[in-house]
Amino acid sequence: MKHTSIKIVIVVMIASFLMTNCTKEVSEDLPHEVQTVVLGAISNQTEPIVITIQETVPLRSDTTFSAINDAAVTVYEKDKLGNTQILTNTFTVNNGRYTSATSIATAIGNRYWIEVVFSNGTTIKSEEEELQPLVSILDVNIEDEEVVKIRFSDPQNSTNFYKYTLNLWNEGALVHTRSAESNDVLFDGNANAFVELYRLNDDDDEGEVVVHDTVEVLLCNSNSSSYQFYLRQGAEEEIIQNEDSAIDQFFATPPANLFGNIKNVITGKKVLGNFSVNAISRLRKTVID
Amino acid sequence: METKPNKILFLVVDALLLSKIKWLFINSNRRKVIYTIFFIFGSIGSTITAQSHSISGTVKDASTGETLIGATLYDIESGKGGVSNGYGFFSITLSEGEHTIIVSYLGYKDIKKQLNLVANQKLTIDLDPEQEGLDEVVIKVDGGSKSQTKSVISGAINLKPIDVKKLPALLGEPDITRAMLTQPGISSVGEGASGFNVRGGNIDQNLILLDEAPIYNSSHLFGFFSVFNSDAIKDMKLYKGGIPARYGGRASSVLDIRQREGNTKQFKAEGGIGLLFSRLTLEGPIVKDKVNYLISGRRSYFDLAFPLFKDTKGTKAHFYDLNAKVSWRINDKNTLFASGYFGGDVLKLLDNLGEENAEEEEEEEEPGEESFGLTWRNSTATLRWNNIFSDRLFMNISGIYSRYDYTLFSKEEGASSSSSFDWESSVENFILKPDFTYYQNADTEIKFGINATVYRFTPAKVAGGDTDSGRNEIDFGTEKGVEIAPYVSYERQWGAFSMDAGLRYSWFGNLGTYEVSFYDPTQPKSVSTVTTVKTFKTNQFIKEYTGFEPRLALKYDFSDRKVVKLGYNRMFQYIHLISNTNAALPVDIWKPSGAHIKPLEVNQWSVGYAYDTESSSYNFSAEAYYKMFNNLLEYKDGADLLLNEKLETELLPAKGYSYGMELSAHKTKGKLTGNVNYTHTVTKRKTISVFDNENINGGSYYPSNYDRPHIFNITANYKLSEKWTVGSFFTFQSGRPTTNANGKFDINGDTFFSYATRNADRLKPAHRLDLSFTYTPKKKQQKRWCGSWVFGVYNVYSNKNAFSTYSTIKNNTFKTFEFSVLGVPIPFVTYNFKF
Repeated sequence: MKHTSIKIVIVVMIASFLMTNCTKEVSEDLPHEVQTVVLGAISNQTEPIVITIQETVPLRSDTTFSAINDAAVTVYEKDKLGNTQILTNTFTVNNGRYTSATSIATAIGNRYWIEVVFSNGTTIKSEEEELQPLVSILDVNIEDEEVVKIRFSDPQNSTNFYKYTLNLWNEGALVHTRSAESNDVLFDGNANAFVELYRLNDDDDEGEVVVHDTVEVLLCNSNSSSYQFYLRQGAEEEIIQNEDSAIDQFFATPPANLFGNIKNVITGKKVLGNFSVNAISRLRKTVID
Repeated sequence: METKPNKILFLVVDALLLSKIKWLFINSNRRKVIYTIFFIFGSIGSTITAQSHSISGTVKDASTGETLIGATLYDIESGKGGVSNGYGFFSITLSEGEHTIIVSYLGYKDIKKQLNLVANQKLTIDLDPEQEGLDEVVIKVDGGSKSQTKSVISGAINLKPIDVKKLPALLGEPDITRAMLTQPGISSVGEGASGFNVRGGNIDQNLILLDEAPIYNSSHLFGFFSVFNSDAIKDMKLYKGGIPARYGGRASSVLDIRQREGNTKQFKAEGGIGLLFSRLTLEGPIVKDKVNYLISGRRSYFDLAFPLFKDTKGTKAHFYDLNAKVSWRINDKNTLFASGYFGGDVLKLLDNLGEENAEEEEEEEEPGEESFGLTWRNSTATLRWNNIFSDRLFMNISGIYSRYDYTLFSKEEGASSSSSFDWESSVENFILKPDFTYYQNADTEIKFGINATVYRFTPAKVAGGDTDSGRNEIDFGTEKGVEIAPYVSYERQWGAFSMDAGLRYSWFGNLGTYEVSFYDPTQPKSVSTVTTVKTFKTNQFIKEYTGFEPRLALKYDFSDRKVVKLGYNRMFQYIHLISNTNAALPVDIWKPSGAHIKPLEVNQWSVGYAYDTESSSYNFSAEAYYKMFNNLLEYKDGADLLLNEKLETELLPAKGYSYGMELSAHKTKGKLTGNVNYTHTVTKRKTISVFDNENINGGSYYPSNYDRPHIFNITANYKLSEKWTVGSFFTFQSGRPTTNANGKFDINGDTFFSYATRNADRLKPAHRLDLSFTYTPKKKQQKRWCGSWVFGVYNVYSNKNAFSTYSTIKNNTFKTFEFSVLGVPIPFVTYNFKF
């Protein structure tokens, strides 16, 4: 009896100390300031290029997407000899989504960028980024119920920046996707490099089981600035969608706009969004229960 | 094996020291300047030393034999005086004849000594404590104790452990950092944040010395408690305005903490038992009045309960401190001190096996098979030799070692060890520091010396599994720094005018072994703009910096109770804490100035006025300052600092300024004592990259993270009766700047925010009241044991002070939250004892 009482006292003591932090909802919003957002990517896979162009909306607006449909988009390519050409400037526009009229073929080692001219004459341009060599996935192991281990050979004598995407498919439909990023500091030049991703097959964010029969992994060899963008996008996503992230605030970095590699050609001011140039390798594996 | 590189480092210091001293004298112009300075200092004093003799010695506590720092000596006949130094030594030179010397010290009875001075005289002055007993609440104290009228230096704060113990403290644990936060001009980013900010400076701009050894992380439990055990501390002095020339290396303040030496007369013990931790101090003579020791320990123990519960079995979470000191009074002229501090935090968590399956899993796997942990430690060792060369020349030589390190580990035993790693990082100091004080006459004191410091920075060493594990062993190398700084200061009084003028010359060299990247100068620094990488060999210079650091403090006495002060300082800082989080983390790394990071330069001007009432019951002061910061480090938006060998690609050069006004009033006599202070301050930053598009807020000035324009503090203690005392602390502070969302957009169906400019918004003001009640039963005459109970509540009226705000969006519903670290009243009870 006495022992139980001591335990209760200790538990209450610890709990009271740990539970002293708290959060409360407040309702003060800053006035909205409209900004343009441009997002897109090009890869080693021959397919149409998709670029979305939108502007930000007020925080308590019912929608999150305000399309800009009247911009002119041009994709450029520079080969290893320094010759520049327009890859495409023909796009079909549907609710801010600009899809190139044709599939676009790319070459490893060439550089790519976009230029967007808005109806008011403002011109923005992404940094010229090189299409990095393809890093093939050697194997994907489903280690246990939670972890997927992706093995690959990290190239020697170069700093690489990766984005890993895990797609869960069920009967041909994509049911869940998540991604992570890392540079190669932990495995630079290692022929047995690996990363582990949580599969989240037990519960999704809503607490429901994500049933799936296939795991698909995309390994994306990117550039430094795009990697930074992905990294910050991932970190921001974690905070924004998690109401219980209060304690993380203690060690949080100052929030910052998701500026990537696009800026105004006249003022040099950065624009929200990014245009990535990625070498993507892909591997699918069937889940056997 | 470890000693070899250290020996080599000391050899390097010796060689560098000699070469730099030679450098100072090799050039004839420089030589003339130096000789002239010494000639002026020498000749000014020598003109008035005829027919005078010195009185020198040590001021001690009569009951414990502990030397007393800052005791004042005053000669009634001549009106001249002096102050005991950091080792209790004093020397005053007076004319031949009869003199009456009054010696006083906070909490001790004044004594009067009649002397007929016909030759140099040595004195050991023993002061009796004002009031015996554990509680040590001083009703009648030396009227000048909180007075700013006596010291030439402006903006200096002197705190004794008794001041700290009187404050209501979080969980009843007297805390030096929290005590500092009750003083004007000092703030922090929020409740529980590590360190403190002084007059707009970052936390790494404070030089925190424990028995002269630098402490790199002054916090336990991420910032809730300081690493200093108040039972082991004798004296604390914070310099935030005028900083004497003998100090250097950090740009904003110096917190000089001295450990107690221990009782030289008899064995004593004291301690405290609290809710979450306890402390015990033992002290006594080994050879009476000759060799004595002090050992003091503290440990948190809430994790001792963890083994009782299945879910927490194997989990560790505690912190500890151990202070130790041995003093050997060899003879009247020589004393040796050896002291050390060892403290750390230990966190070890077992891998969560899943709540539902925990029971079944436990049967299959032994608990503790997978664990994750973080430990961080401060270790210091100081060996000091005090030598009294003559009645007027005092010398102290200190050899100091200081180390801060942390380990982050993940252990996965069994079949798959690929996720195991052991990450270590450290910063080490080896310091050699001879300091001399020459007491030329009653009005003149000359201090000179040289500080030589070797730094070793090991930013990251990560040991992985075996060669097939797919993880590399990471070693960013060991970057070294050598800082050598000779200094001289001259303190003189001419009637109503006083001056403390000093000059420090600092030289810093950044040495290999280290790999340094160089970048295309036409583009912002990034991994893709590296042009060359150069490997610097062991002890090869990467970059050298030098600078003169003038210090000047002037005081004019309108009367002995009204003074005006002026001050100017220049400080260089050659090491930097790389941290981009709201609160500094134990895993932040220290980085020396080098090829890409310039030394931080701070210039500060101050003007102040101090006034004491006639009875000295009240001490008032007002001080205004202006500080300019050059070569500050700021961070690019979303800077990625973790395991980043090319940190310079995430940094931005910046400059800034801070100005403010500090008003303070102390009441030091009567049943009610305390302090009321108000600080108005403005602190702004501006990034100055040549590439406009990477500048924060387009290169405009913005408030720094800890800019709090208004801070108002009240500390009050009231003696209710012989047995009961009440202590209280109230603070009101403007909210700190923050960056909030002002729009939203979509990426592949997920919502993201756009933000207003950096620190454009501000948190709500914060305020809090803490109360404590101390009950001290009357001590029985025959018994050595005496005890007291402290009851109290931290954050009495449960104010939820915002530490930060953050916004979320779920199902397209936008919400903003305020996060409070300690949002409820926290009661505490502590039993203190002494025997």
